[in-house]
Amino acid sequence: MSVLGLFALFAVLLLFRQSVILILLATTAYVHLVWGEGQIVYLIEDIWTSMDNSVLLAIPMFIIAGALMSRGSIAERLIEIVRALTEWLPGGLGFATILSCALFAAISGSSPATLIAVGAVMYPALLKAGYTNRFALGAVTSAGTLGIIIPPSIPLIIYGIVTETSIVDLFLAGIMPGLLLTLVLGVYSIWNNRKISRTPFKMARLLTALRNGLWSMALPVILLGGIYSGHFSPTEAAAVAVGYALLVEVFIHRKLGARDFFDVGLQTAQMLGTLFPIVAVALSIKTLLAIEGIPQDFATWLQGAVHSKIAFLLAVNIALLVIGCLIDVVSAILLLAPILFVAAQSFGIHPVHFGIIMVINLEIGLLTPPVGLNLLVAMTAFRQRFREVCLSVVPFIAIMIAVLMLVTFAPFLSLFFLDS
Amino acid sequence: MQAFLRQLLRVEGAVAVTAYAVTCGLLLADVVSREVFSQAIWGAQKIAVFGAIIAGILGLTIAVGRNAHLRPSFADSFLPFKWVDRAGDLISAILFAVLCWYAIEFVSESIRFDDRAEVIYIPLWLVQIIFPYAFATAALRHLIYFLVPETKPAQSGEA
Repeated sequence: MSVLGLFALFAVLLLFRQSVILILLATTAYVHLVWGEGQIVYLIEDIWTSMDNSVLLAIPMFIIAGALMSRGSIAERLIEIVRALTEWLPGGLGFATILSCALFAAISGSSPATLIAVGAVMYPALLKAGYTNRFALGAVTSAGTLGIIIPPSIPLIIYGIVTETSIVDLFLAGIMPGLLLTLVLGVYSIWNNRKISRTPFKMARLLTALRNGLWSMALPVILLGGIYSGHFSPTEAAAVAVGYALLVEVFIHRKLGARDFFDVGLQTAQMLGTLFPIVAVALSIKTLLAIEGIPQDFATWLQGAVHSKIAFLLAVNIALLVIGCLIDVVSAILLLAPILFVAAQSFGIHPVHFGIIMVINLEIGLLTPPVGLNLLVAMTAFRQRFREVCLSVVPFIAIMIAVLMLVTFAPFLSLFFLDS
Repeated sequence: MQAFLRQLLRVEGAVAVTAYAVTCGLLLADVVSREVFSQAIWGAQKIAVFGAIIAGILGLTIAVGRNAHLRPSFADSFLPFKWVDRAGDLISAILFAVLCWYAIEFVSESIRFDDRAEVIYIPLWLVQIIFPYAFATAALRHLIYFLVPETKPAQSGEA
């Protein structure tokens, strides 16, 4: 009866066009009333406790940094360096697109930011150079997802918070799979476009690009070097990224002013106003689940139902690929990580390795309809039909699934830097 | 009414941006101070967290003001009537008002127990007060949208 009440509440709120945050808040309040200790005030307390956490600070800071770099010229200059380096290769511009996304991902931490920043420059350039619309669209939309696996990554930060896993370890573990994905997608781009005419290599262009982009190139080095050398935490790295981007864009590139910072800040506040309460409510549900012992019960049940580690990993991959089609990355991590994490540990899977598997699965979810975020962003940014965007990413999804299998069954790829 | 909503959005936006600027400035200053002078700034991390909470929770009501909250729209066709939107705003106003009530209870308890922040030791209610404020203004905005539907901005967050 109580479960029916929950579904009824959910259905009524949905029918009366309520926002995700209100649906979540109301249903969680119901859960607290019926299965918790009957006190709605605990919901507010949980929201406060989960937000009063310095690790969460990294999320707004990386979002602000990504927005500042896209609005200014850091992204543009990074892309020019990559283009000057790779355009002489067969299918070089396609390769440059993939590489630019990987490089921008290493400073922004966000997939949509990567897609918009690189896509705005590379999508028209690819079309102008004679690449097919389908490839150009597929390349920017798919490579844009590298932002969530190449560190710093917001989904990895959220996984770390929810499962209490070291974020620095997760960042280290994301390097090899991220590079592998970049390499494989890059090789595909070269092979697929090998017949398109190349641009001759010009040393003068490369030197100019390097001179203009020196300050932009230093950012990933400072950011990742600072985190891995222990000079600052991922949260502080995010603030350093904002400070550095502001400094470079205002005083060196002279592309941004105070008004831009205000717009970016307001945009970030609005974005986080929709995201933070969802994170906080999910953490409240997680606390309730933990008190009721549900993750442990699920793990015990799963161990009885699934006997081998391989079967468990395959089942998790299939389930996450399906779930990735239906809900966004952050919600999927918040809802599933606490439950699946315990089950994965009972099968002896390393928590960091499992985090990488989850994030790659959900990275693919950014490209699968109906709610693939990158599909929606690409559709809006490049004014394309949804069907066309969906078709353009099919070969890239196939490649990413192959890499996912490799990462799943070869844990050393994720644990390489941790072990060494 | 429109002018009031615009002004409210402007003020909240300015406070949220200032809070982010303080957060970022403090985190940066802390790193520089630690690396250069081998000494962290007292309370910088904690104040930065509070700044982000203020900006994040204000963002909730700013998103209501810009009609930017994510909203699942796949079930819209089951009740394809114009009045559903208005009824929805009334329901949202009631829900936010209820949340505001519990947020006031939460802050009152914090005052009663004299809860204080770690490290900087300020009363927590000074920051927690942002919860009832944000829920109250979100409720007020939805109530205005219900009474004067023309004041509601176009939806920008359909999921």
